[in-house]
Amino acid sequence: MIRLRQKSIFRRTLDRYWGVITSLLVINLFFTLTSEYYFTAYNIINILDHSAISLILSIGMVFVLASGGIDLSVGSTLAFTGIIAALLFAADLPILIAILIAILAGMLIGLINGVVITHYKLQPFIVTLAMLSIVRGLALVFSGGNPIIGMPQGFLAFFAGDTLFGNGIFIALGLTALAALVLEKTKFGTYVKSLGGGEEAAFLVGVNTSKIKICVYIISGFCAVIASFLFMASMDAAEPIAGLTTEWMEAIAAPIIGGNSLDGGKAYVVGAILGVLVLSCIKSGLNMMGVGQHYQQIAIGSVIVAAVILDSIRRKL
Amino acid sequence: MKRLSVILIVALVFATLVPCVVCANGEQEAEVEEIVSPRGGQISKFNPEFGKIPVPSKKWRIGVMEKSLINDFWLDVKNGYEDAAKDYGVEVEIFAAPTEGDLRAQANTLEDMLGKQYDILCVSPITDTNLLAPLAKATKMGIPIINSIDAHITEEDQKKHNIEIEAFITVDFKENTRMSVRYFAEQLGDEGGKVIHIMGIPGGRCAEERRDGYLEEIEKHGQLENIGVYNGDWDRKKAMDVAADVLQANPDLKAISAANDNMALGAYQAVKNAGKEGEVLIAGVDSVPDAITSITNGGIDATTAFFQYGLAYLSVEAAILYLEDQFDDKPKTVFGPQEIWHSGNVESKVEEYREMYVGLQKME
Amino acid sequence: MNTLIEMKSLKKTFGGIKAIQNVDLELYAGEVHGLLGENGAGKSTLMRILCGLEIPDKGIIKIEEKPVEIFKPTDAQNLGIGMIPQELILIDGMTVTENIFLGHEIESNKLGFLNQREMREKAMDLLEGLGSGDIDPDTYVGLLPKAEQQIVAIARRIIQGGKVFIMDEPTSALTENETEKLFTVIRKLCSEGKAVVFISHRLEEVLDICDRFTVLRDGKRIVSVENTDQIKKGHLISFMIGNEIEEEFPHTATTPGEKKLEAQNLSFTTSQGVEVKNVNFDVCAGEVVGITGLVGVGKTELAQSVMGLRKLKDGQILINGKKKNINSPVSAVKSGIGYVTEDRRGEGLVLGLKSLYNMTLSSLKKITRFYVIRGYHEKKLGLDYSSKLNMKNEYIDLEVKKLSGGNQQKAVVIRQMMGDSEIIIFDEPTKGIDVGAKAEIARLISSLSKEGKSILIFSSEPREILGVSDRIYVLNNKGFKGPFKRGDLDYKKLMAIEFGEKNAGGAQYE
Repeated sequence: MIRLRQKSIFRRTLDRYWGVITSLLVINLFFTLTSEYYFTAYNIINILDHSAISLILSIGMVFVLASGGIDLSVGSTLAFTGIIAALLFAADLPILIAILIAILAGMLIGLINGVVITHYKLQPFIVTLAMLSIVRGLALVFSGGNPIIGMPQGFLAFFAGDTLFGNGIFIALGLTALAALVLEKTKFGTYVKSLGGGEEAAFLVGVNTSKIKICVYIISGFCAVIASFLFMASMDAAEPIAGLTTEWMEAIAAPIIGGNSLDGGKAYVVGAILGVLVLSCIKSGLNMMGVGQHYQQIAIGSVIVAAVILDSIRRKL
Repeated sequence: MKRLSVILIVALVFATLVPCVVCANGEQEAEVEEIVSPRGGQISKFNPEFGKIPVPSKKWRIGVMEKSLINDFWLDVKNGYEDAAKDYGVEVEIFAAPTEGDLRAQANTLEDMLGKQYDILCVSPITDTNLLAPLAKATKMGIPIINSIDAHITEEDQKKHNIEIEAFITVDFKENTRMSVRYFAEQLGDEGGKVIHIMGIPGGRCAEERRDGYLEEIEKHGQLENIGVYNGDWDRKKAMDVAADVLQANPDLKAISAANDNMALGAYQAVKNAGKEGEVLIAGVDSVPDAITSITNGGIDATTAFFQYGLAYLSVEAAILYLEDQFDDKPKTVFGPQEIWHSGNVESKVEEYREMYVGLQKME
Repeated sequence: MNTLIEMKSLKKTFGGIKAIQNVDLELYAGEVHGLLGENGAGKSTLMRILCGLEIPDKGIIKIEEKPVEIFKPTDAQNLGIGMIPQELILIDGMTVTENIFLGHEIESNKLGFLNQREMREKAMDLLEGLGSGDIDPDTYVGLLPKAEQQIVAIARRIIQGGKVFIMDEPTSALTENETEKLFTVIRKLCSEGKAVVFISHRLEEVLDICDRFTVLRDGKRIVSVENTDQIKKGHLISFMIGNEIEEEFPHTATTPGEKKLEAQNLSFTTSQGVEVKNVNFDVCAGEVVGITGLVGVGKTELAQSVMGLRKLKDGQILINGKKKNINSPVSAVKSGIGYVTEDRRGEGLVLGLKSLYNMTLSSLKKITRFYVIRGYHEKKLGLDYSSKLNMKNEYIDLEVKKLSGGNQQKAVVIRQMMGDSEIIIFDEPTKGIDVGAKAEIARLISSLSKEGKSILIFSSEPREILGVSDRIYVLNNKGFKGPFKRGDLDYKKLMAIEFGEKNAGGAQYE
């Protein structure tokens, strides 16, 4: 019997992402031609830097999407945990302790999301939508509606940094690599993917579907906190209105653009990266062209619609 | 195989075109454009202390970052910038965040703007702190900054982050609403009555200061009773809903101070729906055309005008002065003047300022 | 014989319905045990209890003489019992290897990292052992044909370990060849000491592969008997439905009227990409025409083309002698054609609605006056028809998804009957339905044709076609053959034509 050899990673990546890669190349080509400022070292670094926060949120979202769920509350969690960390910093707690507590807070929010969804068998959309409101309210309450200004030096040094790129993108890529490892190579990753498209198969085989689901929401909460740290470091302040709209919407749109599905079952980490890049390039390019903000909204929205349509076509095939 | 070839072709095209484009851009256009400056050489339009604004020696490029463009206020600002640019023969490119809540978008866009090599920047940050990082970068890159309208980069922050701000063109927000309260005190006399304030998106300096101005001033007038500050998020509908709720609980409400005209108009709608037209005083801030029409037609009662158009105009003048090296002896902080326009004086005010406000020009 | 499993005095009630009453069942190691019964007889409930998906109200289960308690699927798994459901329940988006090892992954260290290379090797070994070494372990299960998916499901079951394999309707989507292959696998499993429970409605297959049968009816065990040469299909049928029926598919002869539907020179492409040309057939009023062929040959695509769900590459369809452009179900219905789909759950029924509403869906005009649906008339109509079809009256008010497969199909058929189409097309009308209901639907088809309607049936079950049709056409790999008269064909001849053999029984068929 002839044994089939596994396709090389390069081939597999190409098979899966040729659509997004082509789009990315076309987009970059277009903007390079339409603005002299686009294809410069400064701007490219900017694009990568600006992608960091969305990327981290997207990675968390990849876990959630793969399990067939969705998490709308990440923006609020980002704001809330930022406020918590800032308050703790202001209370002179050691930086590490404050960071740890903020991370636990974020994971707690994820835990609550997961438990409510699995225990009461509710739609993730509704539960996380409610959480979006509640946590945003908490952020406003704890902060008194005002930003908390001034982060400790060590914090800034780590999460913002002074290097060419800024540390954000490296932290994001580090988390991404970790996520890819877990999703591709571990039992947990397999189980997360097995929940997509209806959990019957996984349940019947004895997979603890509740436990896995709760875990993915905790992961999403964790990512929201890390993203929050980057956010705060870049503004040197914790804002209760952080992550109000764009961030969490992109966290959902980018993975979908990259091939992940709202139905679940797919955990395309590279796809999330590509999706984030597509959105960042478009925003940057339109700025370089001097296109008004309103047209930018139309452009981004169109891309998201196109991605979702493509996703539904892919699902039918 | 087919997909592979598509990618290769695109990559190839990309690879060959890029050098061409880069080359083309490499040749800096050394054209000397003729500067058309109708107003060059005249005294500043809005602030005599600036003295004469010179004809610019070259077509300076000014990058402008407004808060947002979804508001009549900021559109007036845009007009101010553009008119000034036309009048003096310089170039402005205007950017803004998609909504007034999107902090990161404003920061990211500003960073993008830094790559476009403007000669000077005029920024109106959404909060006191969301633009600190990109502004620090700007200073590092040697791009001068004017902090224009709304949020203030404090001295402390400037030092901490090494940001150099060349000028502040701004407004005393507290005074905006202090004027409204004084107007209420005047109109309601000794009887006084219940008053509320509807504020803008919490967290923003403008919203916070206008609320604080209201609270400060109302202390001074014993006959006015503050029964609450409510959140309207700068939004007409939200303000309407809030006002409706308050009217329901307090039918004897006498006045509503709204932090901007949008919300004042919303509050007026609520008052109308409750059948209480004429019984509740409503004052807004911003003096946008819709508000003025409303005052003239007996809708809302007053608005604080502080010439956002003028502030933008002044920013451009300040920019030119700086770039022409004539700024050293000029005041670095400019508070724009403000007035309260109400049913008693609105028509004359409109006549007086018609030239300045494009919005007013659109009205008959 | 080594008794693997003994189930004693099992009882289970759902609401008011006694699903299982006092059932005993013994399963021996190394045997293939057929489990038969009409839909609703209790087969699936019994097996669900064994698998831990239901908990019995009363009764004992012993495994190798020891009493056990099975409260959840993992209990059953630990005891070595597992089911391969009819829908297979594989994960389409994951690879063959991942599906096979789901829940039993091979880890390479304590942290949970997977030893993917070893799993892949083992998967290939397993597939080879099942005679399907050509299945690519890295391909996504969703892309495999049904027969290969089934092998993957069996492989998964083998990895789960244990001796008891329950297979629910494993052959309903398989061709004869694939079924034979499956039987080879089953025999191999049994030779290793495993026990296979074989649930199926295909009585010939049951007689072929099973060592023993158990027949359930109305929640009770009727008989458990060894499979000997003496046992014929008729015996099984009578055990299952409790009385003698002469034919599986009763038929009444009719005199055909004028041509209602005529297909001329149709050509289309099958889902496998094969182009079929020169399809010509016609159906007359009061006549039942059957079109059959092997699975996958293109019958459904042909049916869809006539119904307007698929584009024809060429040819035309004439209704009452006039050419009609049928490009959507709406235009088909307007031309007087009604369609009873193959996929009743997916395309035929609105699962969340009461069955009554499903039935009247196509004929709301009849029961509506001034835009209002008259409830009383609707109910009367529904009861009328359902009694004609021997459907219990209370089923009308139940949500259709709660009905058995047979009753669901009856609901769809009733909808067509109410709809008054002159031409009705059936696609696999009795697929997955128990014997009793099959007979009723066959009777129904006959009576419809007696009323003067033109019936066109597409089916892959040769006996169904032979039983019900007046004239038969066959689609095989060489093209579209026919018409053949009812009396001219028997099972053997029909099979020969389906396989495209030239010489069958001495005659040459073109």
